[in-house]
Amino acid sequence: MAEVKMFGAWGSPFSKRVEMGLKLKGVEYEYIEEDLNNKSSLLLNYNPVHKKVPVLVHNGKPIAESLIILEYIDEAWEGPDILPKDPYERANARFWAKFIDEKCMPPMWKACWSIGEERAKAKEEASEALKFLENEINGQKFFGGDTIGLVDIAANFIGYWFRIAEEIVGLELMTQDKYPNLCKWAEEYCKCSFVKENLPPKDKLADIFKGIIQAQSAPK
Amino acid sequence: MLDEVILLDAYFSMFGMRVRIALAEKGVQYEYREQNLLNKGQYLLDMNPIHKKIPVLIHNGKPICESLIIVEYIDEVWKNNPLLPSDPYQRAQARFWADFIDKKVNDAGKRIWYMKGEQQQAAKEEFIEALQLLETELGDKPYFGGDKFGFVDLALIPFYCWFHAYETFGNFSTEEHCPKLIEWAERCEKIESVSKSLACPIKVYEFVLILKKKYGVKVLKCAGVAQAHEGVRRVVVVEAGSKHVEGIISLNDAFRFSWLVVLILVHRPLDVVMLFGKLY
Repeated sequence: MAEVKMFGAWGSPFSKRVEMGLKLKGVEYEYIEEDLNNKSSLLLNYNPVHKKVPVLVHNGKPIAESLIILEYIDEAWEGPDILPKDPYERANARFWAKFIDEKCMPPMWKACWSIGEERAKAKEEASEALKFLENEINGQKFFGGDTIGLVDIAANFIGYWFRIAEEIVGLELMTQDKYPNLCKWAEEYCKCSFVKENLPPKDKLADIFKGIIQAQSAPK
Repeated sequence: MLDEVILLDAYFSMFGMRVRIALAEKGVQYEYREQNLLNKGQYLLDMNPIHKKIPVLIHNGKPICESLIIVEYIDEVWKNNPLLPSDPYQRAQARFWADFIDKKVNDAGKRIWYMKGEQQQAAKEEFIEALQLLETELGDKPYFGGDKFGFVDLALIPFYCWFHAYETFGNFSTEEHCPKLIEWAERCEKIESVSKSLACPIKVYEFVLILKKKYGVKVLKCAGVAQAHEGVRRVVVVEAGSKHVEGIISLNDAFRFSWLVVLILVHRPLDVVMLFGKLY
């Protein structure tokens, strides 16, 4: 009997990516919530190299790194495709997922929580990166075409987490006039019932973000 | 229809080497086009507008970028001699370690030749730690792929020709810390696709010297060779313009020595030159 466990954190976009993948394939799994400030020995045993969530454990065998887990899910279970079948389109999907992780998320996150010149620099870097994504989504409902695929799942931070954070910190980066395609995609994405089930509650996330601001401005 | 395969690459790039090895493993005929990274051509910029980097594989006019993504593409298009295992869990593990190499080995290695002082020391420690983890993962297997050279082997082996540069600038020996990994590397070098794809370690070192100049990093000029114990030649490295010994690296290759003599003669005069134990 197949046994599937997943170590995650409710607020982590990386963790939610994996849950989306599992749900897309209709896989039954046991979810284990990790306190990231006090990681369990079980998690540290399953991911000794990076010591992070998410980790998927299938029949006792652990897999780490969200994009690698998603590819594993796609290969191990039948069901709707996470990656396309054509090798060139697969390469393209992998390229954009990696681009999101390496070039979009870090400066976007940094832009939220920095000030002054550091914020301006991060904002510029993020703007450049988002421009490429804006061109890529042009004319399509999702990055995966008519249905959600690897890149859409990878872009969950952009479509949801970032929009909440942006509003709270007053950033104005992913604006309608500069990124009409991306904003339209984000709207469709978050409206999608399947995606909605795999997003953390907005108010809970907002509380976390407000907490970060408070901690930053608190006297040392 | 005949396949048209073009590779935009640069001789010294470990990422390019990965693709060269993959294409050779599959026996794919392709056109290699060396790129000048200090003055990038329009074709490269057109084929990789986002990162503007090599390697780029162009298959029947369609570009694919990012070395590991290119290698997976090659593995999927040309199905002979598979590079990745067929089992999904083992594939996930292979991807995990290749990703680890990109994140930990590459980054630390770069900082070894780029940084100095404490930052360089930290980079060295991280680099060695990453290699030791990989050595543990290798275990008793001949290759990371098991009995056969595979995806992880291909991802890591190009860094081997950069070890000499890292060791020279960082003043350490990888063999001392990871002997089994060096054994693995020497085993891989015997494979034809690897030996014909890797750059010459000496040329890599020279290339890094050029990079260091370009980035304004002080270049340590070799002052000479002093005879040391056990027949191991030791090179006295002196910072250009200074009278102090910056560091000592050991060499045990006569060819390397003759290259260093040329280096001393060609570069501008140093304050201290020590050759064969004699100060000039």
